[in-house]
Amino acid sequence: MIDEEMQFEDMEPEGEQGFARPESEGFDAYRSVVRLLVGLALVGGEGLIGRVREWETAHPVGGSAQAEEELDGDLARHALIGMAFETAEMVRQAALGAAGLSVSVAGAMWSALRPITGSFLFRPFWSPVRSVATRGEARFVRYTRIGRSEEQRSRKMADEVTGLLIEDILRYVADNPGVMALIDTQVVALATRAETLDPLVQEVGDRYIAYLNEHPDDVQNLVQGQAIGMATEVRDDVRTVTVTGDTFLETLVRALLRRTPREDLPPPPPEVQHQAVPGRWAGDIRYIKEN
Amino acid sequence: MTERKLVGQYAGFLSRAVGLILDYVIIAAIVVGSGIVVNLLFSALRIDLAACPAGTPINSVQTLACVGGRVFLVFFAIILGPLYYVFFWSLTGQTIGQRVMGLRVVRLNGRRLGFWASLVRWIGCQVCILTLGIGFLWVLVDNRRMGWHDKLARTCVLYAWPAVQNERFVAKVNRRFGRRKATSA
Repeated sequence: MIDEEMQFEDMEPEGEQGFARPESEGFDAYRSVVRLLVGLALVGGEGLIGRVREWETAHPVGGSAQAEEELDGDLARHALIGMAFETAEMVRQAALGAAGLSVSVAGAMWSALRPITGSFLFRPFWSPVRSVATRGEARFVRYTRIGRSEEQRSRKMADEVTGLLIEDILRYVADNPGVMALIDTQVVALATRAETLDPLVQEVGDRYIAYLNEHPDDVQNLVQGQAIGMATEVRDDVRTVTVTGDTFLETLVRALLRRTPREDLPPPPPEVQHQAVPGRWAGDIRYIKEN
Repeated sequence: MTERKLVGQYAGFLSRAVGLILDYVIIAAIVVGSGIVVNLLFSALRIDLAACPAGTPINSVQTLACVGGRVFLVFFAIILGPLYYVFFWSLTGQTIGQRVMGLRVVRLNGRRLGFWASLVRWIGCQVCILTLGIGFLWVLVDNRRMGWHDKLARTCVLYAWPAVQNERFVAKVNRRFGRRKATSA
């Protein structure tokens, strides 16, 4: 692990050497630990926020809860929960308000004291004050730069440490005889359960097969009914298409021959239409005998 | 759009053509099937039907049986068509193909189609075939959707099922060609 941390120490921030501490000084445990903690906090925090966001998206907040039939204990609990949610917002609003107020007060005081602070009496003090301010500003800039570069290194270090940690855990699990024994036990238990399940499944299957053997007519009727139903449906579809095609073809031919389009065919005489009554097939022989 | 039931109305060209094709397929299947059966029977009797081409002198029982088998097959193929049509038309007014397509042949006077009328109608069909199908195509322009064979036998073909057509499509077609006609006029 020390070698790996040394490796992280060797990583140079891109273009930021001017302010960073020289790495040739060797391993600094404090800096490495801080870097690791910062990286884990950043990466872990982002991961947590991402997960929470996904969860919120998957489970949107519903309508307002019913306030009816709540006991006193429920009311108190709900009030506390609501306060917990509202506290963060209240603190944020209060901080913003305080900051705004302090800026306003400072501005007002500065304006009021301007004639005094700008007088010749205070002139000797201005040079050291400006010097302190300049140094503070420089330090702030330096901290900002270091933070910016260290953030990248911390993230990279956290990612690699996490990966190495997972690899170590997997290696440990794979090589550990206790874990292997646990897995073997589970496999044996599954196999035992399969032995008890197989006869059950077979029994249910046998019962179904026996039912099919005992009631072949029902099954046959069901299958035949399905087949006949499908055939009838296909036949009716073909018939409908051809009937439509009859009209289409005639219209087309009449248009090609420049004949007037036919609105409706003259119907056959009733006695002729009567002959077309469907469903006569079964009674055809009787019909012939009767006529 | 309400659906109009066309049962009892004159059947159109396409339905009848599909029924005719189905009948031809059935007849062809019967001819081929009977040829296979006859060949198998003669093979069992050790008679090769291919060994007696036309003009083979009949000088033995074998050649007699061979020629007899071939003549039977040809005769059966020729006679099967009229037998099939006349039988079904005179019996039920519809062949198997027409049954599938929901069509029925009836006489114009409302009476059942008899043997002679069926035979005349079949002869009329042959006339239509000889005229390269013009007699069949006459259905497309005739006001009662009758072909030449129908006119010869004084028959017509009706829808024998509660036929419905795609009214929306038909209306569209009618609009399309009706407009063209109106414009050209």
